[in-house]
Formats: sequence, structure tokens, C-alpha cells
Amino acid sequence: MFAIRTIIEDRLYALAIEDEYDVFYECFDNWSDTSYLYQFFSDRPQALSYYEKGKKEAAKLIIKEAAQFFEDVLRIAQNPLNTNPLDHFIFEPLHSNQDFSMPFVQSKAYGTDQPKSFLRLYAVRLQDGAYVVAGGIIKTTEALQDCDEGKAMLKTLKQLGQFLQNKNLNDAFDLGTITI
Amino acid sequence: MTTHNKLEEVFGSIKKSRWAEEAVARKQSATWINKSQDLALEVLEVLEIKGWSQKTFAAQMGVSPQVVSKWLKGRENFTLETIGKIEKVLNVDLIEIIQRDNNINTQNEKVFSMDKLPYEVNIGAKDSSKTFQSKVVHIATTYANTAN
Repeated sequence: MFAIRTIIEDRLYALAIEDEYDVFYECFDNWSDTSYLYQFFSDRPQALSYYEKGKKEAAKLIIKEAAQFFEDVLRIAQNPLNTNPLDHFIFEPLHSNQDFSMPFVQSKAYGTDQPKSFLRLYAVRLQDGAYVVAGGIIKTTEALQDCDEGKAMLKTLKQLGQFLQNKNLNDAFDLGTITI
Repeated sequence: MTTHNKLEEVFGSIKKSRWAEEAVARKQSATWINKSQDLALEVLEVLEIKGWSQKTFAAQMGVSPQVVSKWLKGRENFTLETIGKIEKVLNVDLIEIIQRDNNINTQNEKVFSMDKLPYEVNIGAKDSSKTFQSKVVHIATTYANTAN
């Protein structure tokens, strides 16, 4: 059974983890936590070759990218007059052969629009353009499915989409999966 | 019916995430939080080099492991006293204060107090055996008195 929390009402939601916590907040928290990040890279020395940096510098990269990403979302959250869709601004279709007009589209949003982005958030898109975030990862490999966290995230996304479908939400929305 | 209403039909009452509240608070403290993160990363690296656990570090500092854990998250508003003690315990320099040189015309000079002290703080661990000493230098701006 899934529960969700409101990030931006009518536009962005996130899976709840516990009573006061959700996956979006968790990413925000962890991606600025120096102790968490240093341990993350200590546990994954092979990931440092992907970053071409040492642990300290890789952690600083994540902090900087996360700060910019959440600043962008906060700006949207604080401006109720901004009703522009999150499509293409925050989220993109995961697969190149899909677009937002399709039901149950998997999509992704990057932590930054720079050539190389190390953060990903994953969400399910609803037909009216709202998203339910399923979680996020710090990239350690080129392809999502090449790391354990990526595989787990794809599984959660699929389960969330299926859950929403089983709730007959497809009568009200189409569901797209958004990988950020 | 709004999107929110439709989702409430599926999920029941939907609570608000605490994310935005926390994000606003951190944004307001961004200047010192950035420095705290840099400092925490330096300490984490030094601890790894020394082979010290956080528990060992806490014992050396005379604080609880919970306090050290909080420091190393990069959200602590450190006092200079605490930084100085960390430097002493780890035997490294973590911050230095760079004194800017201003051209001082000693002839006919007029000295003013500055609203902002013209120093900057660099954070970066250096191997050093010297104890950290605070060097906050008040530098006055000067200008020549043309009516000599």
C-alpha cells in the first residue's frame, strides 16, 4: 500500500516513507548531507571512476547539483502564479521513443542541465501533468539498470504505476513513469 | 475536481511534505551551511587518513558520538572555538584567514573603520603542527589628504 505527500499541490507529490518523511525530502536531505555522501562514495569506490574525482570532490559535485535542482523546484513551489507544466522543464520521457501524450510513460529529470548530470529523480506522471515521485538516485553507472539502486528504482516505479492503475486512476489520468 | 482531490480519493488524506519548509530554512542559511559542508568534508577526509572512527574522534574531542555525527552532516554552525579544538585534535589547519594588503599612504593618511573586515576564510586541511590562532585583523582604508 502506497501513501504520498504533497510537494507542490496539484503538481508534484512523493511517496511517503514514514509519517514525517517522503522520498523527495529524503533525496533533498541525503544529497546535502556530507557524512552520507562521503560514506556513499566510500562504499562504492568503483563509482569514482565514473565521476573522475576523489570522494570529497564527488560529494561536492552532488551537493552543488542538488542545491541547484531543489532551488529550481522551490522557486516553482513559491510562485503559485507559475502554472507552467513540469514537462520538459523538470521531467523528460525516459525512452526516446515515448512522449507525454502516451499513457504510462516513463520519464526522467536531471539534477542539472549541464552536459553531465549525476542525480536522478524518478516519478510517475499523471495525465494532467502532475507527478508522483517514486525516489531518486545518485548515478554511479552510465545506465540505470547497471546498478542495484537503479534496478530497485525501476521496480518501484513499475509497482507504483501498477498500483495507480489498479486504483482505476486511468479513468481520471493516464499514468506516465517519470525518471528524473 | 482538482488533481489533489482525485489523488485523495485514492490515497485518502494527503499530508504536506516538510521539504519546502526545510528548503526555505536552509536557503536562508546557505552562506554558512556551504562553509560547514566544506569543513565537514575536510574533517571526514582527515579522519579517514588518520584511520579514526567518528567514535574515536568524539572521544578525543570530549563530546558524544551524536555530536560528532551532527558536525559531519555539514549543517553545524561551528564556533571558532570548536574549529580551533578540532584543528588541535586532528593536528591540521582547517581554515586560514587571508589578510588583504591595502596600499597605505603613510603621509597625510586618514584612517576609517571599515564596516566589513576585509578578510576571507579559506577552508582546506593543511598538514601542520602549529596550533590554530585566530587572526582577525582590522584593516583601515586610507586615502591621501590632498591638502598637505
